[in-house]
Amino acid sequence: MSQKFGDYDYSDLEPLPLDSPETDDIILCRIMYSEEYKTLMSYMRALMAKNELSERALYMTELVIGKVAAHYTVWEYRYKIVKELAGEGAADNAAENAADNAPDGLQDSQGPGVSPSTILQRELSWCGRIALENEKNYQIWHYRQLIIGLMIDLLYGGDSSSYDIEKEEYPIISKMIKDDEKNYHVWSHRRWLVETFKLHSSKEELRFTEELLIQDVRNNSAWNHRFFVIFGGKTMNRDLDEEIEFVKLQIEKSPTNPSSWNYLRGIYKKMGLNIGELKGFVDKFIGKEKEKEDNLSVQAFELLGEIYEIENEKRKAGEVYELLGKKLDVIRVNYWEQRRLLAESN
Amino acid sequence: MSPTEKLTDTIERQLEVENSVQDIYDDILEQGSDKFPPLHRKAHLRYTNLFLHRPLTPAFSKLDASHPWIIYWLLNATLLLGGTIDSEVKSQVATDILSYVVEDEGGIGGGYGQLSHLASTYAGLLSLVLIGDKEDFQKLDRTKIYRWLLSLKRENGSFSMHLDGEADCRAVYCALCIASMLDIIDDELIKGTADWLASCQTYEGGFSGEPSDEAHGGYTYCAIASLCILFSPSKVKELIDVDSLVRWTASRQYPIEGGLSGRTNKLVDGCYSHWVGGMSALLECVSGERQVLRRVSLQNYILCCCQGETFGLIDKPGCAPDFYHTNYVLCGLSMCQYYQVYDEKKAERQGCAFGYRSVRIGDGDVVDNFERNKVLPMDPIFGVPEGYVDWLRATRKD
Ligand SMILES: [Zn+2]
Repeated sequence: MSQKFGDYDYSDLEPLPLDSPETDDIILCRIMYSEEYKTLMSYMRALMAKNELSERALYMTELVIGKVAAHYTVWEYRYKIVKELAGEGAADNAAENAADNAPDGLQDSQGPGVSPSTILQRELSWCGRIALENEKNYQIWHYRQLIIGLMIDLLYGGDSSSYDIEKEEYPIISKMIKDDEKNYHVWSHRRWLVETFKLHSSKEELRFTEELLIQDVRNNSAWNHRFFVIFGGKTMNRDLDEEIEFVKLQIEKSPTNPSSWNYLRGIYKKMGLNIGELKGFVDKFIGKEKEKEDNLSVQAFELLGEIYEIENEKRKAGEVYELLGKKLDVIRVNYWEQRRLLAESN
Repeated sequence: MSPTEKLTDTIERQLEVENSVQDIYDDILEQGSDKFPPLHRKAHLRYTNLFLHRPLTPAFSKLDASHPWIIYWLLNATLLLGGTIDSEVKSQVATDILSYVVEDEGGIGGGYGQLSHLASTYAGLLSLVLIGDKEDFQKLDRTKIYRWLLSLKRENGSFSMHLDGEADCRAVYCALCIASMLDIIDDELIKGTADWLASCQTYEGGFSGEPSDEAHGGYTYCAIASLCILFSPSKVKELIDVDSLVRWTASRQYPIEGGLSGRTNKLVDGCYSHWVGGMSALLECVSGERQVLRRVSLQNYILCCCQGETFGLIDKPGCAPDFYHTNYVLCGLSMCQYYQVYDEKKAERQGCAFGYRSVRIGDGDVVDNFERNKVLPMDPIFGVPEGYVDWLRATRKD
C-alpha cells in the first residue's frame, strides 16, 4: 500500500500499533484516536523504531507535534534528527557530495545536503509558529534553547555573541507577551537569554520591562524579570537611587499594588539597606486615613509596622498589625496576629 | 485598588472574577445558610467513575503523553471523596501502567512506546500505590530506575524531566518522590539538590521553577515538598527564608474570593488550593505557625465556586470540569479540613518523607458541616490520601 504524507513517501515502512497488545481488551484510559491520528502515529512509531534520522522523519514529527504539542518523546526524537541533519549528517553529506561529484545528478533521498544553517533557521521559525499555537507548553521553549545551542556550536564555532538575539528572539517573545503578558514559559526563556548571553547590562531588557510596566504596572512577571536583570548579575549596571525612585513612582501610581511593594522590599533586602529610610515615603499612604478602607494600602501599613519594629516601637508595631488583621486585611487575620505577637514579644 | 489607578488588564480581570464570585456569595447569603452548597459528593463520584469505566473521546488525544496522569487524577479524586475502586478497574490500572514501563530506562512513559518521564513515573507509581498493588510495584527494576534518575541529574543538583528534557522544581519533586517511594535515595543522587532548590526562592518569598524566575504556587509546592523529603521540618527552616515564604503564602489568599492565586497579581484558581494550600500545610510544620491561610474561607471558595454545574471540580466559576482540577481542588479541600504534624518517631523509622500525620481541624465553621463535606486526609508529601504510601516502607525488600 502506498503511503504518503506531504511530499514524502513512507510506503516502505511497516506501521506499528499505538497501544500495547497487552492492553487490547482494556477500556481504562483508552483514547478513541481519530483514524488520521492513528495512522500518523503508527508511521511515527515505525520511524522511531528504526531510529531513522531523515527529512521525512522530521516532517512526520512536525505533523504529530501539530496534533499533540506535549508529545515529549516526539520532541526528543526531532532533536536527534535535527542534530544529525545539521551536524554529523551534514558533514557526511558534504563529504559524499564532494567525493562522488556525480555529474548526472543522482541524488540521495535527502537531496543535495540542505545546509546546517538553513536547517537550524527553519527550526527556529517553526518553533515560533508552534509556540504561538500552544501558549502553555513545557517542551517548546526548552527545545528552542537546544536549537540555539546547536547553532552556536555548529555555525558559530562556540561563539555565542554571533547569535542575533534581536532578530531571532525579541520579535517572537514580543508576540507571545502580547497574547499573554504573564506567560511563565516565555518569561523563563527571556531569563535564560539574559543568563546565557550575559545581558544584565543590556538597556533593551530594562526598556522592555519598563514598557510593559507602563502598560500594566501590576505585571508581576515584568517586575520579576527586571529584578533579575538589575540585581542578578555579577555587577550592577543601574544606578541604585534611580531604580528606587523608579519603583517609588510606580507605587504612587498604584499604592495597593503588591508587585511594586514586593520589588521595593526586595531591593532593600538584597542591598542590605535600612527600611527605616522609607518612613517618609510610607507616610504618604498612611495619612489618607479618611479614604475608604478598601483603598488603603495594606502594603504601606505592613511596612510601617516593620519600620516601628526596627525602631523598637513594639507597641506601635503591634497596633499596626492589629489594625491590619482586624480591619484592613481581615482574610489574613491569623497572619497579622502572628506578626503582632512576634513584634510585641521581641 | 485606588480609584485613581489606571484600569489595566490585571485589574479588569481581577474585578471580573471578584464580581462573579461576589454575586455567588450574595445569592447564597440571601437564600439563608441552609442553602450553603455542600460537597456534591455523589455527582463528583459519578464523574470520576464515568471516566474510569469508559474509553476517552478523541479530544483526549491532547493528553496522549499523559496517560499515567489521567489514571492518577481519577483514582485519587475517587478515593478522596470516599469512593472505592472496584477490582476490575484495579487490574486495568496495573496492566496499563506496566505497559508504559520502558524496558531500557526502567521508568514509566506518558503512554505505550514513549520515553521514561519523571512526571509520568511519579503519576504511574502513585497509581500503583492507590490500588495497593504491592506485587507489581515490586516488579519495577529499582536498580535500573536508580541509574536512570542519575542519568537525568544535572551538575547543579537539579534533574531533567527526561532525556534532553527541561529541568525545573517539578522534575526535582518527581525524582525525589520516585526515589523515596522506591527507597533508592543515596548521597550521590541528591548531592547539591537542596542547595539548588533553596536557590529557587525569589525576592518575593515563593519559589520559581528555575532560579530567578517568578515565584509560582506549583513550583513552590514542589520545592517545599522536595525539601521535606530530604530533611525534617526544623532543618528545612534553616535552609530557606521562612518568614518571607509565610508572607508570600498568606498573600496568595484573596479577600473577596477566599481562594488562592499562584502568583502575585494573578487570579485565584481552584487548583492552587492544593499547590499553595497543600504547601501551606507543610509550611505550618516548618514555621511552627498554625494557620498560615484562612482555611474556612478557602473551603467556602471551593464549595461555592469550584463545583461544576453537573459534576466535577473547576478552576473558577464559568469553567468546565477536568480531571486535573477535580483532583487538585479536592486535595485542597482536604487541606482545609486537617492540619499536619510531624511525628519524629515515625520519621526516624521510615524517613522524613513518611513522618507526617494528619489531625482534624478544630475551626468551628469547618467542623460544623464536616460529615457532609469531609474528604480523606492527605499525605502532604506525595499527593495521595494519608496512609497509602505506608506499606512501601513496611514491605521493604532488602
Ligand atoms: Zn488551575
